[in-house]
Amino acid sequence: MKTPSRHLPFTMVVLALVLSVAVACGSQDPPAEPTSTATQTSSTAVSTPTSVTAPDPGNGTQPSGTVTIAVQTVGTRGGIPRDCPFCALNTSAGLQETMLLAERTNGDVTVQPGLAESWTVADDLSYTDMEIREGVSFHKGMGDLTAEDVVFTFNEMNPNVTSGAQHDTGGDLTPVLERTEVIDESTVRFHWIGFAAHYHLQWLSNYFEGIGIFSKRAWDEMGEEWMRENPVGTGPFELERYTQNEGIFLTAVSDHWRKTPFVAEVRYLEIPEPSNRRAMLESGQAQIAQIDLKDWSALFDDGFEKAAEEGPANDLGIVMGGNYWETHHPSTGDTLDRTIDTSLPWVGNPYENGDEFDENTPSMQRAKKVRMALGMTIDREGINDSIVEGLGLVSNLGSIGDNDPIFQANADRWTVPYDPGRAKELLEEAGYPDGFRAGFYTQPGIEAEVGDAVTAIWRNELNIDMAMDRQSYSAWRPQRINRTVNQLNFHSMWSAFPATWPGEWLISAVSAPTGFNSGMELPKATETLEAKQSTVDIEELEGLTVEFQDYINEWALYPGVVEAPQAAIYDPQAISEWTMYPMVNFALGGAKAPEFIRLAP
Amino acid sequence: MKRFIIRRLFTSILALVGVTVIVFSMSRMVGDPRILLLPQQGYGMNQQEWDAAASRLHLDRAIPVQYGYWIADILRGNLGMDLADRTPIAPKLTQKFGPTLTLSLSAWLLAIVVGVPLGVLSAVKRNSLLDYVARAIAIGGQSLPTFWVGILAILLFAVWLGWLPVGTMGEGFAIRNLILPTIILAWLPLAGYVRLVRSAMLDIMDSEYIKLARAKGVVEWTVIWKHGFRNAIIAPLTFAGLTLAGLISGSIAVETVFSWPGIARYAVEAVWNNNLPVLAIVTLLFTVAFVVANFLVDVLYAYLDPRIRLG
Repeated sequence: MKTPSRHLPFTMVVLALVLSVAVACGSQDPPAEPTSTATQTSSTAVSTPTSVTAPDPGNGTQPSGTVTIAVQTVGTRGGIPRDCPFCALNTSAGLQETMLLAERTNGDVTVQPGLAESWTVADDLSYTDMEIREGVSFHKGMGDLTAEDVVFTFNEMNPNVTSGAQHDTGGDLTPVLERTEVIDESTVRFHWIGFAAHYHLQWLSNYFEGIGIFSKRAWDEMGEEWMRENPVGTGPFELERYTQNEGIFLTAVSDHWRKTPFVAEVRYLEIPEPSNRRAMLESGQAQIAQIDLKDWSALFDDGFEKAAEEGPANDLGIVMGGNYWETHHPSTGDTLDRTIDTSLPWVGNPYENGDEFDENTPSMQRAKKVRMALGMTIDREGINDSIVEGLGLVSNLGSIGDNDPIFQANADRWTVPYDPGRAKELLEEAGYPDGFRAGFYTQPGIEAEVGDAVTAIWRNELNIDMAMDRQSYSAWRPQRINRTVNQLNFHSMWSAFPATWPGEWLISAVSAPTGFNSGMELPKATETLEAKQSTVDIEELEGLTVEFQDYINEWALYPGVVEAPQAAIYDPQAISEWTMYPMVNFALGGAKAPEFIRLAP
Repeated sequence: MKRFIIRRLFTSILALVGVTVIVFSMSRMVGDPRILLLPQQGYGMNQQEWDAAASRLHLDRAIPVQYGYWIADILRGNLGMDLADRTPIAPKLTQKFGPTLTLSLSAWLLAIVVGVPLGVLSAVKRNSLLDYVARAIAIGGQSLPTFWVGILAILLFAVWLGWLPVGTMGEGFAIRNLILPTIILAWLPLAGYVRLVRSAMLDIMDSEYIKLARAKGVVEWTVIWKHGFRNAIIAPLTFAGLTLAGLISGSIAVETVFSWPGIARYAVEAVWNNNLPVLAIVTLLFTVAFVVANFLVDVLYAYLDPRIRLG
């Protein structure tokens, strides 16, 4: 199984070295002047252009034909930068473009020039200057790309600049990007709050939730309401029509600066029923489809194939919901109002002996044993073989992928044995010799199937009876926002990135009061997050990661189960070629970068 | 007749008001509506924005006042905001009403055109092969789950035989795309027509005046369609009004299975996404459709049968 994150740490080493050299060679006097320039002529892996990203406006022929793609949902319309509920969709569909482009070279993921032709990082890592590519046109006659468009996009979606901005990535940028500024007609400056080695790849490229650039002219001339209905970008496809619950209909830009598409029209159709998506693929009504994992093997047997790049593996780790151990907001210092419900067997209260965090309180020690018992009563291999059809990977720690090099280097410590006998002893020691009854929330689909399998083993081996909560995620999500989760639940995404990236914010109080959180607030996560954001030294980052994962493992806070692959399936008789950028969001069922789809003759 | 209509109109309005109260109350039962405005990821709102949202949504007022604002907005055509993309609901409802109406009307017409004659023939040819076939169709339509039949039909006609598309509405007015969902959606009301008409016709055809007509030598065709069917039509006619309203609101399974971009799909998505403003408006719309259909059927029924308006 291919995994996008596998070689990223090596890329980060290179990036970190570049930045370290920049720091080492640069002036020590603030304000720092830029001294390192990573351009397309640089010899580093960070910026070397390849055939994929080099401008290639001609395919030899004009775009022709139509490709139909059946996906579970086409989400919501692109919106405006201030209010874009699922903006990764715009870049995935080829409608908008990012400043940089991600590319896999010899297994590593690197950033390449995109709408930015070159860039420079300040010696003190406080900002990045980017030179805008000339001659890039917006759709619908909205003129050429300028620095104003880039600054408009980033400032409008950044809650630090625009109060109440609700771009889906904007919130994540709050502790990262202070503001963006026009330096001159073709140069923009990104002012970082805290710069981590991977931020160009994560926030400015199409790798994760890359921010597609909107047209300021469209905003100025046509107004907000028009723009909400007509997302204007610079991508190889222009929006013809978007209809909620029906589809996205795109037409090719015939002389695009980067990649003129092979196909003239792309139709993403929303087909909610999995069996119908498969039927459309098999009957030839669609050439590409988002297919349930359980159907993959049968389709492979019939000659269908998996897209070149997978989305992020659905790494199902169990969040021990309710362990809210932080008392004050890491940034503001405000007191956090949390209920630690120690009647839940897996929840401990470190403040039973006073105001100081004490990991040796009775409930902390009792809950730790319960969590360890739960973690070691998961038959990971069996679940991978039966539920995931043997196509996935077992996952020992939910907070790091098993194929991450850091995990592999520490696998002897972090591999959780399947040992129901020892688990029973631990439960007895914790005071639950007869098991207990509690709740477990899962979303429909593979999550629910894996959840059922895990809880069945717990029921059989430990007499633990889990009531499965299957309400829709949107209905359940307020518990995460309000920090009132009192159930076990799954959270995935950690294995999409190298473990050295600061994913700890997901289980830290840093996003309080109204931001996303998995269901735990751990002081150790905040401490690690802050340390990771203050260094670009790869060894230091690796050290922090190992220390954090040791902590998670010791306290059994995030047992993993399995990583299930996600990818689009296509008919090779209808599609002769389809390369793709490495993009670890799972927008549009993994059917991304349609400009590289070539229909079979 | 006039008093009858006024009485029915009054009870219909009362029902509508009751429905609005129930829908509004349910939308407030799930907690603070502002939670729904927060994005799935990111840092959400600060306290100032949180308070501003309360003021904008009138959450700082008493519940009855909030209800008043809500009703006033609806009457002004302001149906609220779709939380999925934060755009007005009204234009979307207009957009999605077309596909739903197309499908519902097609199914309604098919059910009547096929179901009514089949019911008549089933009664007239009692215990014949045709009667058995008609009864089998009726039992199947009323007992087989729509979503299951829909999936089987897709497998048979789209995947194996390749005659018809799997689903979606297609581009423009694509008749081929309409065939399968129409048949599947029509089957249940068609079964109702067959049973209702058959039963009514059996009663009528056994009556004295039919025997008299036959004794007088009136041709069988006239006996059946002029004397029998015209008197048996009242119950199916009532059923037809309610069926149309039911098809508009009850096409959820068919719209989902056939990826039909109508109002029912919109409602299903709203349920999954906790999109309460949409859900409240769609529920209200469906209820209004039923209340109006009920009222019209009552009036029609009273017009056709003097015993109703005089009773």
